[in-house]
Amino acid sequence: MTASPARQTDAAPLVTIEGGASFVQNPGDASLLQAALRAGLGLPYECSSGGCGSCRIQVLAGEVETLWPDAPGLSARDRRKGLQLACQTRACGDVTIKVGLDRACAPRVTPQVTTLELAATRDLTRDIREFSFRAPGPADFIPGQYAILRTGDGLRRCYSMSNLPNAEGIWEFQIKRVPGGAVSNALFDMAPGATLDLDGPYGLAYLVEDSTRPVVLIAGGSGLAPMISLARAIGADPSRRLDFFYGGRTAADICGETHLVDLPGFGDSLLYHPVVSTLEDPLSAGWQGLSGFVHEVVGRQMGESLREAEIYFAGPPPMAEALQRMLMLDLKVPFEQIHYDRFF
Amino acid sequence: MTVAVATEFHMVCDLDEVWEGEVAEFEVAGHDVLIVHRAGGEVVALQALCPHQDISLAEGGFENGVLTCRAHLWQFDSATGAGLNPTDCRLARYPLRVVDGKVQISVEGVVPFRVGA
Repeated sequence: MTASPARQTDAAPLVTIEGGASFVQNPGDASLLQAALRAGLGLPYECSSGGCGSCRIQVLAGEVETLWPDAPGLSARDRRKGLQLACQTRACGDVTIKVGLDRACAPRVTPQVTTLELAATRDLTRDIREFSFRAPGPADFIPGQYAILRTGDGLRRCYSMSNLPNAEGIWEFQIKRVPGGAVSNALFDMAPGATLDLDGPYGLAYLVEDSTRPVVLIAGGSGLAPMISLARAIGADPSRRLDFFYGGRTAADICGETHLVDLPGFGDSLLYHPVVSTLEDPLSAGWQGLSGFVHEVVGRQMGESLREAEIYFAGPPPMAEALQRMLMLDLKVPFEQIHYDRFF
Repeated sequence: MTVAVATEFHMVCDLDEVWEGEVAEFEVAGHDVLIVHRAGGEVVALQALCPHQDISLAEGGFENGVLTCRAHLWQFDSATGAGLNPTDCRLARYPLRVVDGKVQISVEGVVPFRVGA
């Protein structure tokens, strides 16, 4: 709890949480959520982008602006009750809010805003490109976490890191080009030497360091990056069984193996299972490997052993929802062993 | 001298408003309460908000006596409020009575459960 929160400017609004802590929304804070987390408070959240609804708050006093009034993270009930999303709300002056804090959501690495310079890129598939950026200070995060990248026009998108934390300041991402997507296209148009701002790290689906359970990593499409980062962290221990599933639409969308082959135990304790969902597509011609929806393949291949595993996943919402249902409802895997951030 | 203190019961709804096999959320004396009308006729009052992130369980599923939160699929036994997955949490249960077709509960001393609080 902060006794006297630091204001970077005199005009920076003070935000008081009813019955407890307070924090300052400084100019670098895009929303109340970023400000609270930077102050070390456990304000519940997942996606930081208006979709999941985890960061719902009630504004009790003071004036705020809403960045995205129609954000899908608020249900009809939430709106009836006057709730707002901390990630889509900015204070216009001092405000008082009501929210239940959760110690587990307090950042273990304090998020910071830093400027990145693009160092190199390489294409992994027809629409996924790896970006390597360099920051002036160390790249500090926990494998599995994401950062918010800011491009021009105040646009912000969350992308997970694919490398490991490092003193050299290298931030690596694997980004899928979304047709018509303003931020992904702006990133794909960047040339080495160009700069952008990063705010991070964020996210709670990070490596459980003290676990010795076997690990199952499941990625679909753009969910590749955080699973690669986790594989790099866990795969360094060849005595630990690790199964890595990657689901792509066609055979041409399969990637990830080149990032794993040099890890200890590859092909032995560390197994890579690519899965293609659309065999009838011409781009899948000649595919002899696993096929179907990745969650179904995971269920078939791993079965009951999933109940003993530490499971991490990231990918498109339909994949994430199907996995949640299979793990929680069908297999009754203890919730504590399932790690994901809900994005929509 | 002893004084018998009667527990105060608050009117929630007509029993007709929550059909058997259904749940509904009400605000009672500052508490968000879920009225569960279980198959077989038993009526139970539980905290309405999931102890994980305060999502209303009225927005989730209710099948075979099990309440499922829509957000992370946390599950609770609607008879007792006990957590099924995860098991280290529960829903607070409110004393309930049905008088002349009216559902009434007491909120005295009942504190909703919340993880990480």
